[in-house]
Amino acid sequence: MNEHEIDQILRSANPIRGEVAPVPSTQRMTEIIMNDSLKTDVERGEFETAANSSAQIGDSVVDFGSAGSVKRGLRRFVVSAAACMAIAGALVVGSSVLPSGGGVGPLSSVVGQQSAGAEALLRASSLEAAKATSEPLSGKWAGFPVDGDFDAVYKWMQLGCIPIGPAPMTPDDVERLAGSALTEAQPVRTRLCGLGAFLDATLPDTPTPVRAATLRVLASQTIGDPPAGCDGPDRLMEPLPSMVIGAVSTDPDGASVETRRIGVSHDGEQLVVALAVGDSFVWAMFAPNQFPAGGPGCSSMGVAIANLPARGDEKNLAGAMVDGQLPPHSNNQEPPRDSTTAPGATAPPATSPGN
Amino acid sequence: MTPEGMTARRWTADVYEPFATAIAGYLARRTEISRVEDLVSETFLTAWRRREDAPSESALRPWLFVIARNLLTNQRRRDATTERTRSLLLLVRGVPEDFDDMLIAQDRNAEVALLVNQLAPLDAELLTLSMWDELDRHEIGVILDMTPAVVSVRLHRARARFALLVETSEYFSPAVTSCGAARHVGSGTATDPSPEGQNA
Repeated sequence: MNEHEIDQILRSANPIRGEVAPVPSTQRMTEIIMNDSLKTDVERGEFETAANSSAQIGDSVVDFGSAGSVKRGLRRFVVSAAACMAIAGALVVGSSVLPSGGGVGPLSSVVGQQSAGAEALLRASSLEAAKATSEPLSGKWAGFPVDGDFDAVYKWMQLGCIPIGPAPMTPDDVERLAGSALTEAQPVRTRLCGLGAFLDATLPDTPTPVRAATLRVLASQTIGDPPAGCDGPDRLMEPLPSMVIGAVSTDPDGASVETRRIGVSHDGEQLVVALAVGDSFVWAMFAPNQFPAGGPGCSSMGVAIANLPARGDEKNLAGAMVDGQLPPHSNNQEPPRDSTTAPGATAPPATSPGN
Repeated sequence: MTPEGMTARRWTADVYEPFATAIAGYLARRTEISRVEDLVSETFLTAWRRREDAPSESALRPWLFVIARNLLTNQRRRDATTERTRSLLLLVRGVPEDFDDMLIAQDRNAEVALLVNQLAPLDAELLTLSMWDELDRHEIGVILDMTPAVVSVRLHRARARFALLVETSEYFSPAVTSCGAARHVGSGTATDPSPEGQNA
């Protein structure tokens, strides 16, 4: 039997091919890579570094719903936002109004469990008690599923916390949040409502293009065209009107939202919305396919901006949002290090990748 | 998208898309099919983490195989069911067009798998990397840490040992030709729609 015959026997055996094996899609693989980079950063303490903020507390912020981004495979944005919030000195409580608990569990497992503290805060009987409870948690991320318990949401607000953009809520819920409870939350410096929730409340069951068009109109009415030459991040440093809604990039259905309205150069796939209230302003990021319901970490980012202790840091945090990274100079925090070079990384030996 | 996100997307297009199926096939023949997806992910995740050490494009494929192979080795070390995994090694699967052909192919594939599994692990690895993963001797050398010349020699010996097994196999032995089995030796393309089979 010659070699050719041997090879023929082997080849004709028709071995299992890669085509029959399930493999992640390219997009999924990209997400896996991105999430892994994030996880590695967090595990190395990058998040803790960001959390050791000297920023003021002042505000306790409850961010409802953004943790849901985790299960959409967009964890990076959420935690980046959480890190921004930490820099801004906010108490970050990731929570979900979904009975499932949303992505809080996974996120908490990534950035460190603080649920016990968050629950203690929820049980606090007064604002003072809440602040006392929240102080050790300031700049931390706490995972806490509300599990559809809206009484708990109101409890938070009664304690002076700010609920931000709970996308899964009904218009009635949003109205109650934005209408009554927010105005009663006197201790807070800024009153915010996620735009996703705003649109849900004002345009329920409306197709995305219509919402996008509405947003475009809102943008043009409130801020007009950006000044010539000011379509970059510098636009953010311009004096802001009392209320600004702007949109950047385009929506997925082709209903173009004015690009660079506020001046954030993005990747063309995400809608960036800016809200400004008084001296503070908020950005919200919307992934196109999630546009009506908010986006990954959108409200968290808003909180990060809203809780800035000084306007001088706005640009840095804006940059953080744009890049999805911690700002390089904000509050002396370092940006996340390269995941392949950070101390403590257990890189496999050069000659034996994978081992 | 962040710069890192763009880099990741570009990397998956350049590295993951072209080689994912090949790596999946390699793994699918060596472990349970349910584990393949995770191992593929892990392989490319490791490659991503080590991308600064990645070789040139021409040497990328064997480098990825090395990663997959190491991960597989690690998995087997951890695996409490090593023996069971081993018994699944080199499973082959026919994709015939009709039932009769399927039976023939199943018999044939099972016999080939049986014979390959009777080889020393290195011989089996050499043969399958060459025949099933379609790697050349240079690439196999990278994976098994041998020079191409050594690969050639050992591949030659592995073929010889496999030939001995084939010749003593009741399925392939001329002694059973009358039973119909041996007629498939070297002529089994009718049951084999794979490119290799068609070329055989």
